[in-house]
Amino acid sequence: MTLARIQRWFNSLPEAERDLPVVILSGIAYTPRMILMEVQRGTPVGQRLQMMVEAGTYGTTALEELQLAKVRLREVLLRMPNKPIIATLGTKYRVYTPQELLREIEMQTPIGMQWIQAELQHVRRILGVARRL
Amino acid sequence: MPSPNTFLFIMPLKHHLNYSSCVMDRVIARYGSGKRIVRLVGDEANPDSIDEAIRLYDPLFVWGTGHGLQGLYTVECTQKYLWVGSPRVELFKGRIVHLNSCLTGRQLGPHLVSSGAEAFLGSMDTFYLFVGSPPCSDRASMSVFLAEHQAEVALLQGRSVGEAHRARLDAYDREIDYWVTGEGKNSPYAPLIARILEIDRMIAVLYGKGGVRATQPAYIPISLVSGIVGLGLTVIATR
Repeated sequence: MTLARIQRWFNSLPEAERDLPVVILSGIAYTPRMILMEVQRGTPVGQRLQMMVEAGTYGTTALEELQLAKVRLREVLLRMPNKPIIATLGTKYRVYTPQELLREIEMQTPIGMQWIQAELQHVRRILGVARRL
Repeated sequence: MPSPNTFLFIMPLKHHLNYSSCVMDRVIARYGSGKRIVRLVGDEANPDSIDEAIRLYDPLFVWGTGHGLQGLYTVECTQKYLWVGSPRVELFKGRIVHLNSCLTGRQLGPHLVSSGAEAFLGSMDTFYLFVGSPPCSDRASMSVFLAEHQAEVALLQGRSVGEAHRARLDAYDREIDYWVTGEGKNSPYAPLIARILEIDRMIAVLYGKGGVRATQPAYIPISLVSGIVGLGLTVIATR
């Protein structure tokens, strides 16, 4: 994978994704913007990050992955208006505000864990975009 | 044996169910021609009317949206309609069923299939939808259903249940791409909708026979085939 591909990957992402942590290396979370900068500088860290993007791997331990997902979801949900905009088809027909969902995520309730698992899947998808370019 | 080419749609409207039903209405309008379509909308989506429609039309395919639990599917005004152990389960023998509701893929779906339903499409966990804009008013309000209801597009087009499930998953991928790298990516709600789609895709399940179809190719009498061939057209008739 070349620098040009990392650049195309970065450019293809929405603004909202460019500054969300997407991989963890040696305990440090990197966003797509940070990855691009490291790859542009040609640093050893940049090379390793490039390999991680290429392989579609985003982290190391399960705990770090959990933290990655929670940090990302916090960033995303806090940007949304605090209005009931997320409904479910459960029998309680609950409608959540983004902040209510965030509380579920922070507390790692079954609802929160569902969002965390989906977020990790979403990170894999974001990384997978690089391979399709 | 239920009637092929006969589709029953249970379409309650209250408690945000209109978000799902209105997209299904569009699917029916676009792909339902040539099929026998039975729609029970709003207050018609009640237990008695559903039972009557099933007995009267004997549909091979039944779709319903509603609020659900692991072992329970409810209809308009959250009236209980179908649950694990209910005598109504008998009514679904031999049919293909898709319930667009929370959780019914955990217990009710497997129960229906083990009780004789041909196949079941549903969701294993909580199903989410975006209600920040009115139903069918924009892509955001329709997105999860454009994906979920792709199964019905495929079935109405004559594809098998397995192919319909695959089409549904592929449609989720397309919708996610729309919000992540496509035209919708810089919409203010794009990050939220992409994640809702991600969840709903992860929980989509199929049980039962993937090879069955809700339609049967039309039988074209040989004399008619001959007549058409005589006009210079090529016809392939399949029994």
